[in-house]
Amino acid sequence: MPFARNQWYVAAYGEDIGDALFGRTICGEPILFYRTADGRVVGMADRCVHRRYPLSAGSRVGDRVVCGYHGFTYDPDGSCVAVPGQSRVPRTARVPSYPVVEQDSLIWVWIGDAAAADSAAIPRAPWLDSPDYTTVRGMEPLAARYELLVDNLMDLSHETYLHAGYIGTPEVAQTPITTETDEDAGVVYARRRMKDVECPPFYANSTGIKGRIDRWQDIEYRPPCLYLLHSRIAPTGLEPGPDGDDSAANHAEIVYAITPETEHSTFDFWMVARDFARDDEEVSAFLAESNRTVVLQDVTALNLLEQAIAAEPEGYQELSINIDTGGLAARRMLHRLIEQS
Amino acid sequence: MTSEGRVPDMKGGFQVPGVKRGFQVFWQPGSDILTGTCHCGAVVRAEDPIGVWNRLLAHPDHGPEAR
Repeated sequence: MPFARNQWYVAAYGEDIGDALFGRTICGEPILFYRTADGRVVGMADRCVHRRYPLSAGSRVGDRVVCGYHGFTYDPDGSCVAVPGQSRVPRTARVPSYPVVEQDSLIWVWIGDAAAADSAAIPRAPWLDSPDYTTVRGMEPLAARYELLVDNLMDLSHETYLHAGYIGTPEVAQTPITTETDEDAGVVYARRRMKDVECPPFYANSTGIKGRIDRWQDIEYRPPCLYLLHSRIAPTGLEPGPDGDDSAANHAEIVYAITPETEHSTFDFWMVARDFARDDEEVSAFLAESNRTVVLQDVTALNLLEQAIAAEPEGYQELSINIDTGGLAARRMLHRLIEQS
Repeated sequence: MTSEGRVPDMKGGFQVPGVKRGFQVFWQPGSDILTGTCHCGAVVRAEDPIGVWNRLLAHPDHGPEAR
C-alpha cells in the first residue's frame, strides 16, 4: 500500500532536533532536519543536488549546510548559495524544502505538495507540553509496514493475550465496544468503558489505587499519523460531576504517532501523559519502562507478522471478525486518504 | 476528553457530539451480532464487521431489514 500524501506526519520529538544535522526518512523521502539559530526547525531533502550525497553527513556553517562530499552549500530554504571551484551557482541548484511545524512538543513535517500545506490541519495533542501533565515517551523502530501498527492500536482485544500482566485484564476482552466514525473529519473513535474491574499493574502501581476501578479507554484515531487513547482510571463508582468536572479521577493520555519510514518500516512514537503523581519520578520511570515493554511486545509481534506477510503468495485472504470493527474503519479512512492523494 | 476538548456524551445515541455524517457500531463481546447506526437513524445488524460497514456505507440504501 502506498502512503497517504498531502498529510502531516510526526518526524521527531522537539528535543531530537538541535544544532546537529538530523536525517530521517519519512514516507520514503530522506529529509534533513536541523534547528536554525533563531530556534526554528527546518526540513529539506537529504540529498545534495550534485551527486545525491546525504546532506545530513555534512556540516553546518551558521544556518547553512555544507555537503560533506564537494562542499555545495545550502540556505535553510534549500537554495544552493555556493558550489566548489566556480563563482556561478547553477539556477537549478536547490533541494526541495519541507513545511515543518513544531507543535505540542512534536516536529510535524508535510509530505506532499508544499503549497497545499495547512498547519491548521495538524491534529492536536495538547497534554504533551501542558504544565498540568507529566509525559514519558520514546520511539521504537518497527521493521513492519505502518498499516500493521494501525491495526494493532485499533484492536482493543489483543491486550488480554499479548500484554497480559501489563495492561490486559480478563474484563478487557468482555466489555462492549462502541466504534464511531466522523466521515467529514475523517476520524475513528472506539470506546470501551469498564465498571468495577480489576486494576492492571500498569495503573495500580502508578495511581496507587488498591481496589477495583472504573476504566475508560476512548480511542481517537486521526489518520494517517496520530492515535490518541484517552484513559480514565478511577476508584469504582467515582463519576464525573454534573458540571463535567472529573478532576478526582486519574487520566492518562496515551499518544502514538505512526510514521511510515519506508513501505516496510515504521517509526513507532509512544507517549504517556498523566495528570496524577506528576512529580513522582518513580512513577515516571515505572510508566516509561512498562509502556516501552508493551510497545516492544507489539514490535516483536508485528515484525514477525511483517515477515509472514512478505513471504506469502499474492491474493491471500485474511479473515475479519467482530473484534476487527474499529480496525476496518481505520483501514477504510486510510485508503480514502491515499485515494485522495 | 477528546483532543478538541469535547467531553463524550454517554447518555445514548452517538457518543461524539457534533458529528453530522458518521456511523456507529456497537458490539457486546460474546455476541455474534454487530449493531450499526447510521447518521440518518437507520439501524442495521450483521454477523461480521465487513457486512455491517457495507450496509452502513450504502446510505441511504441500508437494505430491507433496516429500521
